[in-house]
Parts: sequence; C-alpha cells; structure tokens
Amino acid sequence: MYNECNPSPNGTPSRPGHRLPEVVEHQSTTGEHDPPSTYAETDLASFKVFLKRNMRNQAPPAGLLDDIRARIAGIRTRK
Amino acid sequence: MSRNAREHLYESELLVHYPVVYNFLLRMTAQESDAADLTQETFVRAYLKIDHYEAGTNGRAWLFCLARNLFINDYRKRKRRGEQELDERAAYQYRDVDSPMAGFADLRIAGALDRDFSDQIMKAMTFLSDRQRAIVLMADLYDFAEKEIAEAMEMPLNTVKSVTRRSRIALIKQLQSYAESTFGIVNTRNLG
Repeated sequence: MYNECNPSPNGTPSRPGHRLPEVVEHQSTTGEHDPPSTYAETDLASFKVFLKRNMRNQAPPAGLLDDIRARIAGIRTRK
Repeated sequence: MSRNAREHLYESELLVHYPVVYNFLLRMTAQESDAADLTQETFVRAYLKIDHYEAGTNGRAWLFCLARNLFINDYRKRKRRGEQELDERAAYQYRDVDSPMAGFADLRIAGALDRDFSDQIMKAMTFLSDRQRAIVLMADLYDFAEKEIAEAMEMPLNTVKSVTRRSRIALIKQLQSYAESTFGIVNTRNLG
C-alpha cells in the first residue's frame, strides 16, 4: 500500500515515484482475527518500552544524597 | 518505633529511591536544579512524616505522593506556568472508543519507533496537565499499578483509569503529528 494522492505533509514537493510510508493494517498469520485485546496489550507494552527508551533516567546531581543526609542530620540535632 | 528502627526504615525503604524520585521531579519541572531542591524537600518531609509510613509497604508510591504534593502545592504556587495546559475537556476530545493505543499502533506498524523521539516526548509532555503528566510517568515510565497511582495521586481508581487513557491518547496524538511532519508517516486514523 502506498500513498499516491497525499501531498508531502511537511510542505516539500513530492518527487515523482517517491512513495510515502503508510500504515498498513495488521494481517493475522493464522488467517483468523486475533482478539482486539491482544493488539491493545502489545501496543501498550511497546508504548512503555518506547517511552523508557526515549526518557532514560539521568543520574542525580553528585551532591544530592549528601545534601539530603545533611538536612536530616540537622533535623536530628535540633530534636 | 525506636529511633534506630526509624533510621533503618528511612535508609532501607525510602532513601534508596532518591534517584527515581529525582527523575520523576525532573520530568515534572524540566529543571535540574528545581528537581534537586524538590527531591531534598521530599526526603526531609519523608523523614518528618515517617510515622505515617507503614514498613514493608510501597515506599516508592508513598514518596511519589509526597513529591507530587510538594510539586503541585509549593512549586506550582511559586512558579505560575506560562504555557497553556491541556484541560480535561479538551483531552476528552482525544478519546478513542475502540482502543486508546490505536494511534500508537500506527507508529509501531509504520516502523517509526526506532527513531529518536526524546525531545519530542518532552515537548509533547508540556501539553499535558500536571496531573496527566504525573500519571503517565507513573503508569508507563515507572510501571506503577493503577492502585498505586490512585494512592500516590490521592484519586479514585476510576478517575485514574480515565485520566491515564486520555493522557496516553493526547501524548500519542502529539507524537503522530511529529512523525507525520518529520518522517512522512501518514496516519490513516482520526483520533480527535
């Protein structure tokens, strides 16, 4: 499946013969319809992986743990 | 609880989570120094309120609740946001009766997911309300169960479910626009 009619979405002229990628519907390998919940679960799992890959944890600032401990030590002293 | 037991509980069940609390607050504030300050305040508050924490339960969810309260009640009052937040009524337009993940399936099937979306996700997150952003982060980045999110957000479970659903759709819609304009991936569905 390709998209002949759609103009280039970013405003740049389409080259003749250039095929834009387009979404295709899932084809069941068994010839039967898979339950919709299977797609939803697959997509949710992929979505979580996608977010984790694009939102990697950053290391906290080097002194943060020491700062927290210092604040707690100050509270202990005042008690 | 003896002082030693309290100190041990604080160290072993709460303070160990400081990197994830910092990262959660970094996603909420988008400012490293603000996230560090709020993380410090969260752990000070956790220490002062440790008698309200039940040992052996979910320390991370309890800390996220404290962090979320600090962010919304203190940080937001000090720093009024300039940008327009997505309001719940607008988010409702992003509902999709069949599947909230349908738009994401398009990106997955079209092979767009190998691309780098990190900046775009951060940008798309700014269109979510604080509440929506916090819930998506807890649900999809930190794998909180809905019940844990309800506890951390102090919200009814059904509200968590509906806000999670709408927040994902709103986020995916933003990413679809980006995929279409940047990678030429044409979406055949209409989410909104």
